[in-house]
Amino acid sequence: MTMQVIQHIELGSAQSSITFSNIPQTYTDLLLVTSIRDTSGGFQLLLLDINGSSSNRKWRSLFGNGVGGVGSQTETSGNPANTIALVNGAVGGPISVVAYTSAQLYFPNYSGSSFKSFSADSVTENNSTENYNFIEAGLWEQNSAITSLTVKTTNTVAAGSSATLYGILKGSSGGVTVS
Amino acid sequence: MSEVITKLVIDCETGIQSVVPLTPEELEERALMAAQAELDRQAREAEEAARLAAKASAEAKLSALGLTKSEIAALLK
Repeated sequence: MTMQVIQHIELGSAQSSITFSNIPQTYTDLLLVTSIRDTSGGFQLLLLDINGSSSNRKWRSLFGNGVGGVGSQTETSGNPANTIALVNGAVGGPISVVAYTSAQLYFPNYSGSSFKSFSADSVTENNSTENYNFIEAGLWEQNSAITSLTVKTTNTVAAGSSATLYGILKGSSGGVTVS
Repeated sequence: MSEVITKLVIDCETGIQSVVPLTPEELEERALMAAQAELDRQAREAEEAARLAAKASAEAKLSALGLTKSEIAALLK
């Protein structure tokens, strides 16, 4: 297996979203790793558009918040259809420190001609007991290949947030090479 | 002068990064989503605060009945 950096971006100033466009179709899977924060106070939403669209999505997430709150949500729970997780916002509400949420999203067989499944896991950072760990299993109900991925938050993605898109190639020898 | 809200687009083939102003439609969608998300956030925080308050009240009542801290913890686990 080979894992290669396709593109990496770190925001020097706040932006409404980060889009990786014109994704090469030469890999087997995609991995998107983010360190991300919203500019508004409290925990905010991390959202994902695929090929510019937030539609045609099914998902189920499981979460725990470190103070006994656990639960599950789906695309019918009231959140936007393109919800991935909760992320750190600015200091306010239950958030007592400026920190970034770590989230990674995996897209197997992203260039295939059937519906695309994906998985996501994330954890917020906080200097108090309330924190969120999310895992999500999702399905993009389109047969098109994935050519762009957009990550955004409820309000604005804060400066210092970063995102790295990796392409993963299946191997033949059973060895693992990271470059 | 009002702030121009932009998005960052990076072309994976060329590596060229573009900072693009949002369209009026994108701005409207963003405003609606932000307003709803703020209501959802307030509701979520209020629900969590109420749950924690109820939990603290329950623990206090159990303690008043004579349960030890470890017994209460085991019961609520």
